[in-house]
Order: sequence, then C-alpha cells, then structure tokens
Amino acid sequence: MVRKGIERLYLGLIMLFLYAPILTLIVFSFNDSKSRAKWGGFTLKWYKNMLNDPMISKSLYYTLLIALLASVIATIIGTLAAIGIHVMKKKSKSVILNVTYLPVLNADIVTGIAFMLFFVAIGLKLGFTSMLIAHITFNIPYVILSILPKLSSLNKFTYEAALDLGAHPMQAIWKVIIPEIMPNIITGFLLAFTLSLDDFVISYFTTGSGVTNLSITIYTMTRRGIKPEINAVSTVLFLSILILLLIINKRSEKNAKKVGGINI
Amino acid sequence: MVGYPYLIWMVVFIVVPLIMIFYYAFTVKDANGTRFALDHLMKSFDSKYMVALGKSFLYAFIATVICLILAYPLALILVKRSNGGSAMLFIFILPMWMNFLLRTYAWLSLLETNNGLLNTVLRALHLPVLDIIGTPKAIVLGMVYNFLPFMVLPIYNALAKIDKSIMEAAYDLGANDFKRLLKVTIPLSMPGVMSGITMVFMPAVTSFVIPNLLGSGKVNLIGNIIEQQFLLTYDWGFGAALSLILMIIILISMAVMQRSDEDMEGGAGLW
Amino acid sequence: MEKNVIIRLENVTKSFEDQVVLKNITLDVEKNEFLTLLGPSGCGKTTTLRLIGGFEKPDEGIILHQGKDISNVPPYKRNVNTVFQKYALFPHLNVYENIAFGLNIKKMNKSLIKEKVEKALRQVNLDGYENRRIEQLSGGQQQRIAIARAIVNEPEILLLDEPLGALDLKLRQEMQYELKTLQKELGITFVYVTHDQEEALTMSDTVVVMNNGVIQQKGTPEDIYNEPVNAFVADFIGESNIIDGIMKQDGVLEIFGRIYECVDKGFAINEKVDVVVRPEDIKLLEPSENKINGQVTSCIFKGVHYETCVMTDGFEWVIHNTKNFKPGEHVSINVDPFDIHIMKKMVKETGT
Repeated sequence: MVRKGIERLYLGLIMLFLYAPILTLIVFSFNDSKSRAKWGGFTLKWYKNMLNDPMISKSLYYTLLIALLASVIATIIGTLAAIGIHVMKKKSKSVILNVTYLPVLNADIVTGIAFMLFFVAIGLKLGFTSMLIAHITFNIPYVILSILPKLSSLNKFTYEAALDLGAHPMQAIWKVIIPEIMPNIITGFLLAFTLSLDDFVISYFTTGSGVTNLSITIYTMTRRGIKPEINAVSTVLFLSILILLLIINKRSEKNAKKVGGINI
Repeated sequence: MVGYPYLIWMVVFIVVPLIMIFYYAFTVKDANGTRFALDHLMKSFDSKYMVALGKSFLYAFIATVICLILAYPLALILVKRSNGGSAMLFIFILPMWMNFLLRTYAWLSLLETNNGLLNTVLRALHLPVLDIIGTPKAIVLGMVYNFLPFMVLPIYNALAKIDKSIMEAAYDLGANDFKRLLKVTIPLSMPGVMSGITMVFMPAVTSFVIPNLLGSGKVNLIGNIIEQQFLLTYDWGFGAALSLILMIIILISMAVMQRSDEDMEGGAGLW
Repeated sequence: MEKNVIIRLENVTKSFEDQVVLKNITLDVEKNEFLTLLGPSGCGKTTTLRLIGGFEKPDEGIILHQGKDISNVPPYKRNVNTVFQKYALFPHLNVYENIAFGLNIKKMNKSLIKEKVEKALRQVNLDGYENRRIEQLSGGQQQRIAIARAIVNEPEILLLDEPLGALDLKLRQEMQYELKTLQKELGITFVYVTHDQEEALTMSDTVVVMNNGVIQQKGTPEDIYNEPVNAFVADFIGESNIIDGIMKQDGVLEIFGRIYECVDKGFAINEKVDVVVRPEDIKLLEPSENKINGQVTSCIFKGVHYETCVMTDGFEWVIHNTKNFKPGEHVSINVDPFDIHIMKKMVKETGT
C-alpha cells in the first residue's frame, strides 16, 4: 500500500517535471499580457493573430509542406530500399545498413554541416530544395528501420507462392509483400513526418534565402523574445499531433485484438 | 533491384556529404589555391577547444546519469502495471511532440530569477530562490528534460521483453524483490540501458541549442563552437575539423557500446 | 485415516477477471508421492500448481503446508521449487550460474555450492556442462538444467509444469522414465502437471483428473484407467465408447433398446446413465439375434492392433482387435459384463 503510494508520487513528480513547461506554454498562449511571467487575463487573440503574422504563417507553411513532401518521398524510397536490402546477400546488406544508419547515429550538427558543405560544393543555392533533400535523407533510415524487422518476420514462401501462381516479381511485391508490411510503412511515414516537423538542427544548416520552418523561426525569435503567437501555433500543432497519435493507438490496439495478439 | 534508387540516393546524399567534411577538414585555401594541410586539425587541439569538448562530455555525462537514475525506476513501475503500462508510457513520451526549442525556451520562463514561475512559488513558500539560468546546472537540466524519454523508452522495451516466467523463476529460487532486481532484472535489461545511454548521451554532447538558450550564451560547448565557425566566423575548414573529431569520437564510442551488447539483440526500437 | 499430508488445498476458489478457474477445490498431496494433475487446457491444473508454488493467492480457501496456512507466503519463502513450462532459464547466466542461483541467494559457502551444482548436474546426466551458455543447449538439455536448478535447492516439493511438452516423442519417453527414477532417488514430493494421459499413467503414484476447475477423480493410475468415475474421465483417459443407457435395476442395463447384464449396482431404477466400454474390451463376432449387430465402416492397421470402426444403430464404435475386417462386413459387438462401466450422467456445466 505504502509502496503503491510512493510509486504514484514518483510517476506524478516526473510527469510534473515533463509537463510543467508545456503547460506554462499552453497557458501563456491564452495570456492577454505579452509577458512570459504575468497573467494578464484570458484571450484568444494570439490564436486569431497567428495566421496574420506573415513570418509565422510562412514558416508554418514551409514546415508542413516540407514535412509532407519529405515524408512521402522518404516513405516511397525507403520502402523500396527496405525490400531491396532484405533480399541482399549478407555482406552487402550489412555494409548498406551501416551506411544507412550513419545519419541516425551521427550527431545532427555533423549531418547538417555535411549537407551544407555538400550543397555549397555542388552549387545548389541553399533554400527550399536543399532543405527538402536533407529532410528526405534523414527520414529514409527511419522508414527502413520501421519496415525491415517486419520483412524478416514475413513468411518468405508467400512471395514464392505468388510467383508460382503466375505473378510477375513486381506484381508479387505489390500484391503480397506491400499489403503485409502496410502497418509498418504507415509507422515509418508517421515517424518521418513528425521528425521532419520537429527538426531544427539540420534545417538550420541547410536552409537559406528566406525559407524557414517553425523551429528556425522560434530560434531566431529567442534572441528578441518569443511572440505569443508562436505559443498558439505550437499548442495547435501539439494538440493535432496528440489527436493523431491517439487515433493511431486506437487503431493498432484494435488490430492487435483482431490478430488475437497477446501484446495488450 | 527495387533498392537501386535508394543506393544512388545513399551514395550521393550520405556518403558524399561526409566526404566533404573530410575534404574541408584536411585542406586550406590560400592564394595558391587549395592544398592538403593539417592546420585545421592542429588548431582543434588547442586547449581552448579541448576544454569546450571536455565540458560537453562532462555535462552530457552528468545528464545521462541523471536520466538513467530517473528513468529506470519509472520504466520498472510502468512495466509492472496491469496492462503493461503502455497508456502511461505514452504520457511520458508525449512531450517529445511539442516543439523542442519551445519546450526548452519555456524553462526560461519557469526558471527566471526574478519573476520566473518557479521562483515566485518558492518565494511564496519562503524557500531559497533558484538562480541557475546561465549556469551549467541549467544546461544539464535542459538536457535531462529533453532527452529523458529517450532513456525511458529503450529501458521500458527491454524490461517488457523479459519473460514473466523468468521473473517467477527468480522468486521460486528464493530471491526477494531486491535480490531479483539486482541479479535478474538489471542484467537482463542491460541492452536497453545501453541504447538508452547512447540515445541520451549523443544528442546531449552535440547540442548547441540548449547551452545557447539555458546557458544564456555564457557557456560554450563544442556544439556552440562548431555552429559559430559556420554562421559567425565563417571558418568552415576549422568547423569541419571539429565536426570530424566529434564524429569520430561518437562513432568509436557507438562501436564500443555495440560490441558490449553484441549477443543481445541490438536496437531496442526507436518508438 | 489421516495420512502424511504435506500440502492441503482447502476449499480453494480462484478466478481471473471474472472467469472462475478453480471452483472450491480440496486436494491433499501426500509426502513423497508423485502426484499428477491431468486435464485438458484451461482445466485449472496449472493454476493449482501456481497456488502451491505461491505465484497466485487463492480468492477463497486456504493452502496448508503440514498444517500451517501458507496462502500468503511469497514464493521465495516457500521450500518449494518449480520446473517451468518453457524452462525459464536465466539467459544472462551460464549453466553453472543458473543452477547455483538459489544457493547463492542463500549465501551458501562457495565450495559447497560447487559440490552441490556438480552433484545436481550428475543427477540430470549433464556433468561437464558447467560453462555452457544457455542458448548453446538443446531443448532436452535445457529441460535437464531447469530440473537441476530446482532440485539443487533440496525442496520438499518439486512442481513441474508440463516440463516435457516441448520435447519430441522419443526424448519425452526417456525423460518420463528418468523423472520417475529421480523422484525415487530424491525421495521428495513431485507435483506434475500435464495434459498427456499416457505421461500421467506412466509416472504417477496418484493421478488427479481435472476439468472446468473441478477435480473429477483422484486415484492410482490403475483406478483411474479401470474405474473412471464419469464419462469425462473415461474419455480423457484413453479412447472410450460412451453410449447413453438406462439402468433398469441393479445389474440390468438397457442400451439401444436391448437388455444387457452388467455388474454395477446402486443406481435409481430407470436412471439415465453413461455407459463406457474400452475399445480393447470389445470382441467382434458373427452377427446373431440377441446382440448389437452392425457393419464395419473402416479398419486401419495401427501396429499392435487394428482399429476397427463399426456402425450400429447410428452409433460408431471404436474397437481394437487383432483381426483385419473388411469394410461392409457384418459383425456383432460382444462385451463381458465386467467390462461394462456405468457412470452417472455428467452434470452439464452452464457456460464455461
């Protein structure tokens, strides 16, 4: 009984630690005063203003556009790559996987700088394209990572059965493999999307000519003081992601039950 | 065959950019053009930069230890809960989806010495005021705050994977709760602990945002110095050399970590 | 007649999430016996074992160890050890460390531990395996290590939860013999859980047949086989022909509208009963007037015997005999009165 109490208290304290800043942020997005410390009454004006601020609306637009494009492209390339890697011989497989994991293992700042030097060297002007390429590249490994374990647990005879029944290899992949790994493809896509949405360091080094995402905008603002509108935008984003995650969780729970999984 | 587009992508956008770092680190540009030289690398070993590197490792180390101490009991409590605690786990991971910079920035408002929320509360309770903004303490706090979920997740996964009957076997053979934790639970969760340590230590050591925000720019860590070379002093060669050193240290330590738990299945999953 | 009872479960009821797994069970385990809990999956046998091991607490009722209530004593304070279903060996420890685990916990002196571990390994015929890693061992070897790890602690009672389930047939039969020998050698109580009736009959001193959380019958293997108390036991223990019958009076039975002689007594007049006849107790003869006559539907060679199926009055009999019949042949069913077993109708469980 005492032990339960201590456990609850511990969970509560850590939760407080993790959520205190987020709650202040959300609370202050409704604060009428511009101060970060004083409560000046409830208002929704920052939510109304947020889309009128050209800087914020522009960075929100780029954030969403890049996250969407990068995660879609990374998902397509990554899925094909995972299937390709899966059937490779052991040796080349391990070489390629090691290179693939480099951006995951490496420090963001090093990855960002490597991109920047590369883009400058090939004469690509830093901006939308460079940032998009960088995002696609750091997203691909996460897509591969989400799919590869599922592929190795697949029954390899289903693919051969499809060939036996007259399917062309491409058809077999499309009609047999892809449907089986679909949940993992979706996981990989969502992982890529959220990583892209939240990225700062790599974007910071690969952007230019007025293209900025929310993180960069926030970073620039921290020097002169954060506009309350940013709090409003972040709150909206946070809540939308929260809802998205809840929906996914519900869905995967249902799937687990359907399969009769014991992993509840 | 379906993997070819990726292979090309991989070589062009992963391998070549990394080669660029080597290129910039090992060459200098002067009136005679570009030539091979070790100048940048030599400059990196200047005590000023080594101190920054040392500090980065020290703070990251402290932050990692604190994360481990906080996360292990948390993961234990969560795993023990009836439904595997997955719903609760979700709550502890969720803060990661609030913008990283904004979350860190929010600590500023909480910690501000004069009218920060935390100190207002402390003052009202007649407790001593916390004055840590601009100090290493604030930086470590920021690191712990931001990277704690990275520690909780792999440890939780490792603990959840331990077969229930193995835990029962320990009981059966006479181990009480404490002895079981020491002799069975902790050894079996080591792969998770290892990947947790890497997942916290790595971003902590290279972070430049946290020291910038919570250190008020007063504490220079290796990440800050690298950032400055590219965006302030434009000494790209030197910046590349520092990045190279950082990268090599990281990759070596990863390899060592990986070896230490080779026979356990690596990668406790990133989710 | 009070015997040497080591463990007594008294009116124990246990449910998991409003599913009742044990319904008011009372069971005595005697000192130094080999007792087997036998039943289909979900019958409550494993739960009974886990209650004795201390992994579950009874919702109602108590568990007595030599007369003392141990219902709330945690597993690590019970002088009982378990051989788990999937062995549950510690993957991070080698063979020696696994077996020494319990002794180390007791802070036993190192040289004594070494001696005991070696002895335990000898007992399971794996001497010299001390330094092997667990994943280097075959299933059968892991099984032996799990047994060694348990018996090295010199428990009063060894609990075995379907320990042979994962082994192949040949190995299983070998291990059955070894376990029985080991039990005699150690002179301790074994409580063994299995769903395999042959295993239960081969090894046990006492068999407890369970179904739906209720003990159906407790007895020696011979009793259980020869005198099953109800149709469930009869059917579960070996193949049986179970026919609906009516007890006309003591010693007189009606099946398919014909009157037969039997030896059972003590039923109400005209009570509906289950009639159980073992396949090997039936002789197939030429059809004749006052007998159950039918037609052979199939006859399969099974090695020791032929398994013949005969259809009579819409009921298909299974018969083990040594003669090859041709499908379509007309035969009659002949059973000695002594081999007709009459049982009270099973009370149908409502729900599960």
